[in-house]
Amino acid sequence: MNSEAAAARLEPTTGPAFLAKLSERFERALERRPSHRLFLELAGRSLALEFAGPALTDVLTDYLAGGSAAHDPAALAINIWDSESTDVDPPPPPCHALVSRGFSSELGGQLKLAFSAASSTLQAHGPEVDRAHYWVRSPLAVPSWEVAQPFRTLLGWWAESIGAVLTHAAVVGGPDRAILFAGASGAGKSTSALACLVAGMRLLSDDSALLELEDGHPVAHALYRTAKVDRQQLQSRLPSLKGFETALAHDRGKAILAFPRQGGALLRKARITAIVTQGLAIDGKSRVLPESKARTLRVLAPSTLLQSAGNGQKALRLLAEIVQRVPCYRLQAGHDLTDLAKRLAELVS
Amino acid sequence: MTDGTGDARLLYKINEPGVVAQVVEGEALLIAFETGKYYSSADAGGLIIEAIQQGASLTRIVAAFSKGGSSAEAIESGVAAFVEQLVMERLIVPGEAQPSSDWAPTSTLTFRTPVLHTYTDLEDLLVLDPIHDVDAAGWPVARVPA
Repeated sequence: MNSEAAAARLEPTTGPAFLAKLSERFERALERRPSHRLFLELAGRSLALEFAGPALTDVLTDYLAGGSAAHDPAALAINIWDSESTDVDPPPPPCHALVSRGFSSELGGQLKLAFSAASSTLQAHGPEVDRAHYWVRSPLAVPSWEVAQPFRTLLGWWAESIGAVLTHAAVVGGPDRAILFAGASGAGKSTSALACLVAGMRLLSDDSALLELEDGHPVAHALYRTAKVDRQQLQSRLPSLKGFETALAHDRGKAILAFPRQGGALLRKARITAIVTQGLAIDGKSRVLPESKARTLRVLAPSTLLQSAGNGQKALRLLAEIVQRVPCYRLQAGHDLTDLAKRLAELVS
Repeated sequence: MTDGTGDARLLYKINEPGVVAQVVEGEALLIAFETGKYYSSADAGGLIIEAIQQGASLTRIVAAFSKGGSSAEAIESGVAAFVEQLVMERLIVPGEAQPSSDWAPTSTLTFRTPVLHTYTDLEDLLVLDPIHDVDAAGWPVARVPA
């Protein structure tokens, strides 16, 4: 059956009604498989994950940055189940937008839903800010990018609901002084960030960080302990990091690295003291030059917001505030990564 | 949808929630979620978008530029052409509320024809499902190539 025909047969459902059906299906899944609860620390808060059975436990928690946390009250509780091990499916789609487009926030405004046909995952957040659902057809269907960065869509919605923003950015440095790299995918943020890691800085993120204002100053929190890098770059320019490569296969041929939660390489939280947009040096020599805040926002905001289904004006306003509160620079990235890291280190010294 | 003069074309608003806008250092950034395009406009364009965000009518915007010494004809035609471009891109739509009398520019600007820059490099980031079939419950499944 094609999606247009299916959409025509949908019975309109309100957000609260769909959420009630979703919760009821999760309860049914818990009857089939025993509950398994984990409490993890994330962004300085407690994240409660309740799994119906163990099938998804390792798949969806191995690469989160946080370690064990104190129990309730959790800032966010996610109910998680799969159909393969519980034999429980989610309720039928509630609206046309989900069938045809994969994303909707039409159901009463506070309930956000996203569905991926490619990976058969459904994510729902709201209307309460501390409640979410995650369903997948089969643990084997969870794509490697979701394993490396689980719940990214949900965490993005939750971030906006608590006045933070899940940002497409790399962050390196130390707890009191850190650099945020902004740039579209492929611009070189990960390579620059990993070069800084090799040079002795600590890594908070290579791709996704949760940003908020704390006492008026931008602060970044780690969500994941993974990083992606072009395999050729890893071999030729960052060979000391080869030992961190995982077996996860990236669909664009990149290597996915994972760093231990303990051991000193990772930062959980850092004060942002500089924002750097990523570019290439025409002459091959690295330089760090002043950059306008307007252009910095133009580099930072679109790739952040266009990757996050449903986040909008609040997130953009927060990014604009953050950009205006710290010095902004543009990096002309040269060939020599040691020299590049040295130039960036001057921003956090 | 008028500014008190009876002209329905003179009051606009940002086309939220599909479009979000922010002005920093006088440069406006607009992001359109339906298309994946984003736009920027500085100087006169940034001021016009900021004024629209704050509920100012086009009459008020034109009057603000007139203080900078440029010809009235150049200002009116330049503002009108820019607004038309914003409407064509579906970045702004006719406003519904009463015009705001609170907006005022922070400095006197010499009017220069506003320019809207369009960026399409991130269009492929849109969260869109590929063409798919649906299962018995009605959920999409990725269509397997023949």
